[in-house]
Amino acid sequence: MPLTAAQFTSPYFSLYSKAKQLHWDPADVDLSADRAQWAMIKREHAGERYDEQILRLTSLFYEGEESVTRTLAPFCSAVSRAGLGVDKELFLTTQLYEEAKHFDFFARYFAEVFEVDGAITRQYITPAPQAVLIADLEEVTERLRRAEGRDRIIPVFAESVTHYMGVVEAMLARTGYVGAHDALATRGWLPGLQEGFRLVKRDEGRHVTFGMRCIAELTAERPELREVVSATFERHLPNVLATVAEFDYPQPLVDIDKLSAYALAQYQRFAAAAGLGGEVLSEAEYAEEGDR
Amino acid sequence: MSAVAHRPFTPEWAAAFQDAIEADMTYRELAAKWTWPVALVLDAAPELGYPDAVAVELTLDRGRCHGAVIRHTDAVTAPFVLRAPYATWKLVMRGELDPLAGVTRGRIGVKGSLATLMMHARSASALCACARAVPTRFPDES
Ligand SMILES: [Fe+2]
Ligand SMILES: [Fe+2]
Repeated sequence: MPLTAAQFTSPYFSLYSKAKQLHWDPADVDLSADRAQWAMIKREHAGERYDEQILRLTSLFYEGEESVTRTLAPFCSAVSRAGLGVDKELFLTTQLYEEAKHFDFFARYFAEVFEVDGAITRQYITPAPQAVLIADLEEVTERLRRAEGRDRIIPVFAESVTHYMGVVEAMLARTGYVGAHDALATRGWLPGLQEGFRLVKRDEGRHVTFGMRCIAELTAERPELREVVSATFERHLPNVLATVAEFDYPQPLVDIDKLSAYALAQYQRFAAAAGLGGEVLSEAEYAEEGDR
Repeated sequence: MSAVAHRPFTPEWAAAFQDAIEADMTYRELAAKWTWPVALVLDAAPELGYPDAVAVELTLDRGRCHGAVIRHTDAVTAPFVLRAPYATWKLVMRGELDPLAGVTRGRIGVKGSLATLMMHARSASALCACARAVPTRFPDES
């Protein structure tokens, strides 16, 4: 299918172009200072359980990035089968590559800095993140993979976009990266991990913007899909909150109130894009997401 | 608004809470789209004079509060119920804990649509902020 003139200048195409400009390689992130610092954190801050909190946080990112890498392919195929636009397909190819790089970054970090096998992450995956990040995402994207016919694909696509880009990427990933980056930056800890968080967070901004754009477009054309968006958030919000609450340590590494407020704001923006808040997002608000 | 301080979750306190909500223009503006009754439930705390759980049910509609009634929890019909122990409500009433942070930390239980409640987070916070204006005599301090 050709790329039409309108698609060539569409917001999806410009997100794709931005992805090409902001290319980075996980192998280039300098981790040389992190190993000694990690040893110091384990030695001097075991009382605050900062080492455990950092491992819990990065384990969620590791598992989450692996899960989104595995579950994105059905989106590309569904967009193509439902004829939703080549510009969206182009963008999704960059996202698939980026999710693989995010997973790659954490795999490298676990091996080179934590010096543990990635399998250690499993012990931090409690039922709430297991459901929202992994099992439920697999379930909906498997339905997306099997859906046939435009009218069947589109509602499952809306549900999948809400879960993947709205719940997992906007509410959990972006929120987690912002909170984690701040927590390390204020202490001056683990500069390589900070840099990884910054780069991943910037990519996630585009992924979330893509999701908000898709949802805004789909719900404008088919207002009945608002119910799908709303029901999807309703279903997963308890697990999102339970996941955030796991970082409510007696001496928390991350500022949990700020984290909650940020997750909430992400939800409200996504819901507003779906027309659920009665407000429509301005162009500036979309742009802000994609550029940061 | 009465200057006499009342014990929280008593009829006199509920009436003063209603007055405070009605008088709060920030709340009226932020809650312009909120159209559902809300019940706040206090867990039983016999040592503080609350032998059973007790609810204050607020008839809220677009920034107004048309009623604030103390009820037995079985009689609550509001579609949104926020429930917490005494110590948590005290923090909220003094403005030391944002109600939504209480929800996200699992300190406040929610019955009703979380998606709707979170869409209106600022109005929920503003509602609880009204409780700060109510002269309150906390039973663990007297
Ligand atoms: Fe990612
Ligand atoms: Fe992503």
